[in-house]
Amino acid sequence: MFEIFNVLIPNIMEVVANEFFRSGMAYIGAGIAVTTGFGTGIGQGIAAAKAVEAVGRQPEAAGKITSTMLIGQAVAETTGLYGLIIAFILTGK
Amino acid sequence: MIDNILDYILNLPVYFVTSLGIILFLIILSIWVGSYVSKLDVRDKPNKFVTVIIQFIDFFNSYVKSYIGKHWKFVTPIALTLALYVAISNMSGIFGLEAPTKFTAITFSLSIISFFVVQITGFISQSWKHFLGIFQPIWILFPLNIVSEFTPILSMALRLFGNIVSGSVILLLVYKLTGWASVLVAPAFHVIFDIGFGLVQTLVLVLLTIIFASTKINEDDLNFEN
Repeated sequence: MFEIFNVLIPNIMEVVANEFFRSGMAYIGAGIAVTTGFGTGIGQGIAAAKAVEAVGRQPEAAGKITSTMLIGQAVAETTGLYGLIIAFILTGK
Repeated sequence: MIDNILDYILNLPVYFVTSLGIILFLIILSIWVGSYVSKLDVRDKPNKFVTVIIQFIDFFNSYVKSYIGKHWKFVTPIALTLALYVAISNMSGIFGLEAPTKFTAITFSLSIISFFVVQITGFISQSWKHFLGIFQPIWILFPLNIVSEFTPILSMALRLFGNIVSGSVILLLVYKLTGWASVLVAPAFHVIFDIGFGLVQTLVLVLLTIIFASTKINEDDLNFEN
C-alpha cells in the first residue's frame, strides 16, 4: 500500500543514510515527543477548575484547597515531563 | 594507588563540590542553632531568628506526627534533612551557582534514600511481617506489588530532574534573547522557576515519602498512638 513512496520520494529528495539524515530524523522525533504536554495541560486545567469551584463554595477553606491542588498538579505533571526528557535525549544525538 | 585516589578527588565535577558546599552550610547552621538552644534557660526569650526556626521545627514535627503516629521520632530527622537540602539546592540558581539537582546522579541518590526510608519504617513498625505485605490482599498480585514498590524511585527522580532542568533551559534562552535588557526581564523568571517550582517540588518529594511510609505501618490497624 505504501510502495508509492518508493517511487515518489527519490524524485523529490536525495535520501542517503549518513549521519546528517539520522540527526535530522532525531530532531523531528524530539519535536513529536513534546506533544505529550497536550493531555497534561487539559488534565491540570480541569483540576484547577474544580479547585476554583470548591473555593467559591466555601471561601474559608481556601488555604487547604490551594495547597492540595498544587500537590496534585505537581504529581500529574510527571507524565508530561517524560516527553520533555525524551526530547532532551534526542536533541543530543 | 594514592595516585588514583588523588586523581579522582581533584577531577570531580563541579556539581559535587557545590553539593558538598550546601551540606557544609547546613551542618554549620545546625550546630550553631543547636548549641544556642541547648544553652537557653526556660525563662529566657530567644532572639527572633531562633524563634522562627523553633516554630518551623514544631510545625514540621506535628505534621509528621499526624501521618505516622508512634514512630515519628525516627522519620522526622531524615525527612527534614531531605527537605532542607532539596530546597536550598533547587534555589541555588539565584546565587549564580549551578543547581546540583540538575543532574540525574543526585536526584537518583535522593530517590534511593527515600526508598530506604519507606522500607525501614515498615520494618521498624512491623518487624518481619513487613515482607508479607507484598502478598496482600491476594497472592496472585505479587508481580504488580513488586513493580509498584520500585516505580516511585524512577518517577520521583525524573520529576525533580525534569522540573529543574526545564527551568534552567528556559532561563538560558531568556538570557540569550534579551542581551543587555535581561537585568529587567530575568528576575521575574527567576522567581517563578527557581523559587516557585523549587519549593513546590521539595514539598512534593517529602510529602510523598511520608505518605508512602504511613501506608506501611499497621499498628493495631490505627495510627493514633502518641
